[in-house]
Amino acid sequence: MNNKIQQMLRTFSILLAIVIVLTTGCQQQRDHSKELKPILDKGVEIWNTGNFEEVDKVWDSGVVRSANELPEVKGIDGIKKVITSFRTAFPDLKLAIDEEIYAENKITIRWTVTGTNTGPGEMPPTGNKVNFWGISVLHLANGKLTKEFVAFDNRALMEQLGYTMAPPLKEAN
Amino acid sequence: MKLLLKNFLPVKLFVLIIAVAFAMGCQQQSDDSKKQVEDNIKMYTYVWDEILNKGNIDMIDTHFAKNYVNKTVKSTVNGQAEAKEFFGAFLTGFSDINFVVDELFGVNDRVVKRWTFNATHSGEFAGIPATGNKITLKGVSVSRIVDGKISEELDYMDDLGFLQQLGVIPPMDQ
Repeated sequence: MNNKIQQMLRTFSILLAIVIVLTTGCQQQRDHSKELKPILDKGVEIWNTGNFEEVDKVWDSGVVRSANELPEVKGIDGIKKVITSFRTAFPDLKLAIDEEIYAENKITIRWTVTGTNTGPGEMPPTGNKVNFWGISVLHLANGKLTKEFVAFDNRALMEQLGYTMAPPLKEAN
Repeated sequence: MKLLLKNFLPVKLFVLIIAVAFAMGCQQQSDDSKKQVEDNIKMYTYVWDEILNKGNIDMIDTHFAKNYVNKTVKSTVNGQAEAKEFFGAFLTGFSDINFVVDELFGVNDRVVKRWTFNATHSGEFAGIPATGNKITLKGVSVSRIVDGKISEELDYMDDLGFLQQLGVIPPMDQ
């Protein structure tokens, strides 16, 4: 009987040790995705639903968003306006994440947006389907987005909407 | 009970030694990968400063991988020769280049860079004759560094804003 208990204890100790080693041994290589991914996921959900109920759980009240060389957009109201204007022009808008790179308080996402331009935007709706991609570098503090740096190709978007961009001028002669 | 303790303690000790050894190994690994990321960032910063700010296009031969790939929404570049042609066009099309790194960080083999390209359009670029326009282009690049060489870059920027600044396309609000 004693032997059996000893055997069990030994097995248990070794199992426990393996679990401890696996869970704590390599914690030095911190995986920031655990704390940051839920925030990103909620942000993507807000983009995809247009439901702003939890918008202040994702974006900080002092958030600053800059896209390409466009003027900065500030605050939660600014973020809501951006999302609303896209979702008005593209009511079926879908934001999908192609790659996530996590660092300390930073997330870089490569993304693809698809949608159908059935609503009014800066220009009347074209009915065209678009599929364009870009990148966002996100900064976080205290679990909320404080900065968004967005880069994407408006030219590809405009062309998909059916606008013809003037071809580059050819050099005379 | 005595017997139990006698058998149990050595196991515990054994386990402790393994755990400590493992943790130290992990620390070492973590330091190595941190150093790797620091080295990547140093090399990457140096190479792009040399190419764009100093016009040293030959850095591509020494610091880009043979199977280098660059992608933008509109273009794909394969290999060193195409890369030299692609980036060389910026050096002949523009002068007074001030390529500024706004943010740079690395994770594993990835490097993320936000940048601003300030320059004067003083030469032919992509078929567009020199306009003398001063341009500011902002973008983000995601790169992969393999064995100390730049092996992949995904460049994100707004071509529309770029062409507007070059005067090829009128601004949107006109």
